[in-house]
Amino acid sequence: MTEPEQETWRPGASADTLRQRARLKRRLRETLDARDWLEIDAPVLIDSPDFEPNIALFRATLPDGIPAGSLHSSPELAMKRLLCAYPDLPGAYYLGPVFRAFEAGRRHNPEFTMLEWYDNGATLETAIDTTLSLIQTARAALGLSPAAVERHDYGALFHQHCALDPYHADTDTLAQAAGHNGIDVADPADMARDDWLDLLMSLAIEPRLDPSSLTVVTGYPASQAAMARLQTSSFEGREIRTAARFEVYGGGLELANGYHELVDPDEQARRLGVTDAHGPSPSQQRFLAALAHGLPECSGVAMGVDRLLMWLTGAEDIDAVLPFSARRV
Amino acid sequence: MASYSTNEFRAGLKVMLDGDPANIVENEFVKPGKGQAFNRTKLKNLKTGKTIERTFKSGDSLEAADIHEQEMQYLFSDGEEWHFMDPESFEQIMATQEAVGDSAQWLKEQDMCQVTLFNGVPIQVLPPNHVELAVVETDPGLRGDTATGGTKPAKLETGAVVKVPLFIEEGEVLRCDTRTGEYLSRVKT
Repeated sequence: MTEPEQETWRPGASADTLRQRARLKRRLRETLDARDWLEIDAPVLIDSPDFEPNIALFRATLPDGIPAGSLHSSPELAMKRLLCAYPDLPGAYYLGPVFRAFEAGRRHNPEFTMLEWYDNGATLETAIDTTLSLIQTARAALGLSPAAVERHDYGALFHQHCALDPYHADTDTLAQAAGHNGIDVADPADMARDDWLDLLMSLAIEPRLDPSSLTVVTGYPASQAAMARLQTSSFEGREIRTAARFEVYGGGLELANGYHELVDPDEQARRLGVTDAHGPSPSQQRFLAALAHGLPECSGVAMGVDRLLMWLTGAEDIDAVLPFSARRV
Repeated sequence: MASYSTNEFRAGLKVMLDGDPANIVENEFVKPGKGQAFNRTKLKNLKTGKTIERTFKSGDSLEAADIHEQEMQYLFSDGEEWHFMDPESFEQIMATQEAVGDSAQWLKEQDMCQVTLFNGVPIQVLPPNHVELAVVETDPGLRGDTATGGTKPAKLETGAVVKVPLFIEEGEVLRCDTRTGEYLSRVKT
């Protein structure tokens, strides 16, 4: 960061890291191609469905200022429409750039490389296995031995590190736990329940995950399902609704996120918020029409390729694994 | 007054925090992939010098603080206030005891200082990194002992007390580092 401005013409990644990066991408493709999955080119410039409440899109405009869509933050809608149209495909993946406005920091670059796949017929457990095996394959490709794997339940992690029940705790309890962890929030009144949970997960739990292990977390609250289906689980003897969702961490670094995908078009329309006055955008209409036609039972996983390379190489800053991060563009 | 959104937070930015001007020392963007983004920010209160950590929801903003730093010449102290002059405009301003703080012990008339102004009022004064000051009080020198270790306290003309080698005598001018409070060398006068 203290690098002089005149040196920022140089790449952030060393030549060795760029070789590792190329090898990693090649091995990921080889592994997925061997499963007879199709690599798909999802459109990067899309009509703008803001279906992720916490992700801001880059807007594209024509030279005269006329809106022309957005850069995609994920190939999700296109990939699912593809599976709806061709339900006999065993699987499909996208390996390429995605864009998230304002996300810049040591672990974030506004433009990053995503590997996202949809495995036709897969359950959540299968998706977890595939994700772990792909990461171990990536380790081997870079000459590393397999990493130990830990599995944790979201509820158990909060119980262990924050002494609370994340499914039922009220905002006051969550705020207190933040205080006990030395987290001083500027505007507590502006924090919703899920905001507190995200805060505790990021600042109180992730830093305590074993740095050398892969950690799989399941049992996310139903309020954090995004596009995952819901399931019934139990926590401390109580029956609860959770998201059919998992995250994989390499040390405390979030690497991948997967769902047993929601296939119900009505529930999907509700989650997209298209029942409001604006109605669905053309791309949302097409997506919902595809779901009405029928999305096969499937699981989808998104993996941050730059993050994976950070973990594999021990890089502290995403700048060290990218040829030209945003600060060098 | 202008304000800065968390997206603009970076080290060195001067903002208002809890009614006091503060300097952003460190800023880390934190976000779960599907979740709410936060900025975990370290800020130094420019009045008290205390550093705190504060977490902001991304998109929050802080008012900009009207802070600027300027080289000014120290003129004199009347015991309650310290008087400084802008060497270009010749405008004079006064700083309080609170603003001058520990720097007072290094301030010699005519020296150039770094003055931090908040809304035009000095809130911090830093002496030059190196100052040359005369010894006004120290135990008698030990002749011949120029090489071996051993130190004694010496009081300087501005009030600072520094550890000096045993051979230093009253009336000598010493070069000192105000950041560490250490004696550096004798100055030939």
